[in-house]
Amino acid sequence: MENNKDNEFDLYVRSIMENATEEVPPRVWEKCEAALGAPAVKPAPARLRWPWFLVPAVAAAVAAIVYVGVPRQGGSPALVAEVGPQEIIVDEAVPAVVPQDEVVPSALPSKAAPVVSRPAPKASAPVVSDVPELSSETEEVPAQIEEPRQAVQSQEAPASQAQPSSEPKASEESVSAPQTEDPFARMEWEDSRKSSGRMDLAIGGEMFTNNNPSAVQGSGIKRVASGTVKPVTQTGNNSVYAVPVSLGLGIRYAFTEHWAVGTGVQWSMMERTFKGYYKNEPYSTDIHNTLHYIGIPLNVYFNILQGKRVSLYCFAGGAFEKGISSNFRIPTTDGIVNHHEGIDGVQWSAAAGLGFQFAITPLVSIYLDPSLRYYFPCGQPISIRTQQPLMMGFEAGLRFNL
Amino acid sequence: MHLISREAERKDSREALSPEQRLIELCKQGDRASQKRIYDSLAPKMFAVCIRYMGNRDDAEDILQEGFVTLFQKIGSFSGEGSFEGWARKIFVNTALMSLRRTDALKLSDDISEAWGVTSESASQIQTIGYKELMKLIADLPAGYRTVFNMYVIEGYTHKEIGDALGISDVTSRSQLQRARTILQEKITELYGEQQG
Repeated sequence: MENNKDNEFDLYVRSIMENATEEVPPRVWEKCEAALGAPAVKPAPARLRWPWFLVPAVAAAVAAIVYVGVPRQGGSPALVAEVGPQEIIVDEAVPAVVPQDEVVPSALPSKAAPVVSRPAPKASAPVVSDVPELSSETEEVPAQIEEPRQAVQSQEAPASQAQPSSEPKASEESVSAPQTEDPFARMEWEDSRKSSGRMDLAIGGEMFTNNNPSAVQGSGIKRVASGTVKPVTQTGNNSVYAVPVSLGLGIRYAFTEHWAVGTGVQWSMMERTFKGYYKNEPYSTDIHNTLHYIGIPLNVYFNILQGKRVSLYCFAGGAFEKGISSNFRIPTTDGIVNHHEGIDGVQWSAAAGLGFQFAITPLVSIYLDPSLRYYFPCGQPISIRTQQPLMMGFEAGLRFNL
Repeated sequence: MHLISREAERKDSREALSPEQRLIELCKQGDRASQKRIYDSLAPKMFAVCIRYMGNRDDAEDILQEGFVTLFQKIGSFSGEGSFEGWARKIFVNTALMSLRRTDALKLSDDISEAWGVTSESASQIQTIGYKELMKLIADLPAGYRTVFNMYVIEGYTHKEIGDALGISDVTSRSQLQRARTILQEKITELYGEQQG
């Protein structure tokens, strides 16, 4: 039976074995994780703000319609609509060719080109059936056919309307001087030749929307080897996100009047604050995490409207970004601790948007580019991008015509 | 250059809890980071428990993994009364016992014919034995003796509790314990003799 010696023996064994520890192989936790399955926290769904989502789509659709729907003359690129009222001047030396079945661009139902109706000359009422058929290469234009063109006049030239009797004469004179090609087509072709091959340098900054998503996927902190204490651990699922910002330098090359391609380099910063532990600190605290990224964007631009000073365009493209720093600022009992981690992998994104540019001088313009950007899941640390991958961005800056 | 948007909701109820209680609450919600913290703090001790019961590291790894999965799945039932480590230890002991029963390793008999107590010599000789040697000696015991020895001497179960857990009588539990002590004594004496020699 048990005796005192037994008790002493038992006590000694217990004192050694009770709190003994053994080194645990890392594979045990990996098996536990696999057995436990996916974490209970579900990712926050990306919220689509449909009005903003439609803006670039509508812009792209409008651009496509303008590009495809506008007829071309003499092989020149599609004509762009002039902003503001137009004044048509007939060059008597160059006959204007207006085929019957072709629509004059300036006569399109456009708000930019108001149609001013004037009474038809009584002397000769236009009868289409009396006009001989003309091919697209005919040089002579009867007076009756000249009327639709002359009907589009500037509102600033009322004098011409006050003399209706002189109008037919002017039209006859213009008709009597045959034109081999549309002067506007030639001018616009020359402009397009000037526009192409142009390079711009852009300096700008961008801010993004922040709907402050509440759920967090994972901890967002770099994994360490199993069995070691992770330096920073997040508790709970809530974070406060700051508005992400970007600054960049870019170049844009226009290889036609309408099409351009742009690239550059940009720096982005994202911040968030969450509650967590640092190493063996006994209490959780507010930890501030700052992420820095360097990226290369690549965009294709399409010029929708081009005025003397103002232009409207749309663009689409993407960016490739590499995280260069993840910094944690942690208040501890020993003071503020700054913990740095690297960022593995790269961040891909796609974007589309509209752009507005105003030329201050011939060489310097300011621009505003609202856009919609989507950040693909690339295994990056927790940030506003991983929680809200679809974001509205507002870029503004200066462009310099090189 | 940045703007701070409106603050997220705070869960103030967690501020009144101790760090361990906070971790447990987070584990109940399935927070993987909190589970890893608990794993990191308990795994070394529980692995030693598993090795003592299973007798080898390979089986002990399986029991450790199975035990933690059970622990995280049942953590919601932890009422907060008593030590969390003590509650966790019971899970691992039960997991080891279930595994031993599955393999029929716990073949216990009521034979106490060769059992005797610890002599004064072995009681002093054990003072010279370190943890690693002692762990090996316990691990080398037959499964039945080893289980009763672990449950009585180290975990602190009574013979009645051991009997209920293993489906044996109090007498059998006592005899198994004596057999375990006897074998350990012989091993210690051998080891002490080698050390002296």
